[in-house]
Amino acid sequence: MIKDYGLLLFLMALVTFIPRYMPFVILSRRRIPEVMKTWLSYVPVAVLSSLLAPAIFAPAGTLSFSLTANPFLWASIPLFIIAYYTKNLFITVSSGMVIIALLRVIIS
Amino acid sequence: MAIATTVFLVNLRHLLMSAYLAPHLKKMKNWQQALFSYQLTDESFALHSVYLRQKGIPPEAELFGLNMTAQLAWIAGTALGVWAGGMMAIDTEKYGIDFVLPAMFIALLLMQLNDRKQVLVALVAAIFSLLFYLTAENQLYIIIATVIAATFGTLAFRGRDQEEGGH
Repeated sequence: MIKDYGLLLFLMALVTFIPRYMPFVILSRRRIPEVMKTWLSYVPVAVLSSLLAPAIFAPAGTLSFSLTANPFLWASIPLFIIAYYTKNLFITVSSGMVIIALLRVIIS
Repeated sequence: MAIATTVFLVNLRHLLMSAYLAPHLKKMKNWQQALFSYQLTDESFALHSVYLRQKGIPPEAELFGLNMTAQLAWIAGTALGVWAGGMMAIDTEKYGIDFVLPAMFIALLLMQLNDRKQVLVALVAAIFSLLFYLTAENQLYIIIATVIAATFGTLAFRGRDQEEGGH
């Protein structure tokens, strides 16, 4: 158990910063093989999808397809369509808020 | 040490995000790269990667403008919440505020799904992320699912890149 909060803060800052900065040190000064470029080109979509999936399929920590227990999942369906056609961040986010609010009024 | 280890594991996913961004930002000076990585979050990564895909390498002013705005908003929002959070009772569910983050990630994901390969990689990532999130008792599900999905994409579509004219 660490009693010294200063040391704890320093350690946390370190472990937060190192993973973010190391790739810059390693990758930005040398040529990257084609296969690694291809691999990296899939990272943004894979990371975003990995962040999103638990947030809409299991927002309470367990998998739920219930409209009343997990309205996020059902609100996501029209939202995917809106996001696909508008490709617009503000329209999608504000539509999402309206859809989830309406859905909750309906199911309550 | 347990706290530091957990924080490290939770933050490990940013290793992949930085690895994606670093080759595009190699013209930056060392201190700019350090500042940039210090300010990297899921959200700023998502915005930067959308920009890269649509318009190419962002100008430095825009890059740091976004990061500074995001970090200041985070700090100011946290301070405001600590100071005034107890004074008001906002029903976050009633106004759909709790759905803002998932909705934002839906928008930022869909903005990047511009071909079938990316769609399939996203599906693989979603399945594995959910699987590891529900079964494993650690914070590594994002990084594991990302590595699996990117490797799947690289192996499954080998040779297709050349057909389509590649890079």
